[in-house]
Amino acid sequence: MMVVLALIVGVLLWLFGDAIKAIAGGELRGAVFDRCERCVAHAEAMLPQELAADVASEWRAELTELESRDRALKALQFARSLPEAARSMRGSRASSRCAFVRVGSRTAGVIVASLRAQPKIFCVMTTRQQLQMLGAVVVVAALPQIAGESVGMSVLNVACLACGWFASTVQDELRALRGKSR
Amino acid sequence: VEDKRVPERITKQLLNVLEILLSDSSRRWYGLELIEQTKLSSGTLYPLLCRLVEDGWLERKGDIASDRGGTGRRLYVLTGVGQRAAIELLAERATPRRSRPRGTFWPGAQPT
Repeated sequence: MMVVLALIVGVLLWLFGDAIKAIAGGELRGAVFDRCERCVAHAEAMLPQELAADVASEWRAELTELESRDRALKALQFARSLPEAARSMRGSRASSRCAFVRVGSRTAGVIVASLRAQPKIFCVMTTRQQLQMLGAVVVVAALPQIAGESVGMSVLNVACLACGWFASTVQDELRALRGKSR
Repeated sequence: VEDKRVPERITKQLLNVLEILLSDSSRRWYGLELIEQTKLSSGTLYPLLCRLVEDGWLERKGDIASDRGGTGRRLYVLTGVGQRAAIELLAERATPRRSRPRGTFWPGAQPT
């Protein structure tokens, strides 16, 4: 009995295997690309307004390309990281839109990365000595909006207090700067 | 005087992207091709490209079909400034760390 049943199933698969695979594969493919589209829409909503349409259309075009090459898994991988890209691009835009002072070309990557994730941030990247030279200006002009963090290597990062970021290690620096300004 | 803006973070990923772009500097690359070449995720690559475009190191253009209202894919190519900066930066990476003056990373940066 079992042998007969297996034979029947075998014959049916042989006859209709391609059709079954096409239907199941097509459904799966459709579901994957629907999911991809949802990821793009999610990412698009997070992008800065001035970039959103252009960048999202680029991402959709790349997904279409992957779809035409039948690379569903690759497309899903691509799409799932897009919200992360959008978040990062939004953070970077927010920082570059703000008043922005850069002294020298040194960077302090880790801190800048955390600053970039905050809205309404500007950073002053400078050496300790340069900051102290700048300090008089900073203190007079905008001290209430300024906080800084010593990150070693004589590099100081200064960020906007409007975002609520304030490193405790900096408070002494600021007190010293305030003291100087009085 | 050429305005050479330096990306705020010189990361390994940035250097990898620059290396690929520089391997054929006249070529225009799709984002997807760069993802395939660098093995970076789209979440890492696109913010990087966006920053390089803003800093003037990369030019972002529509492909021919998108000019005609077609695919909408975008192509990236190094600008002159980007090419020179990438060469310097990659040469700097090739320099053993110990032989660099302490505190410099970017060529011409002031040691602190």
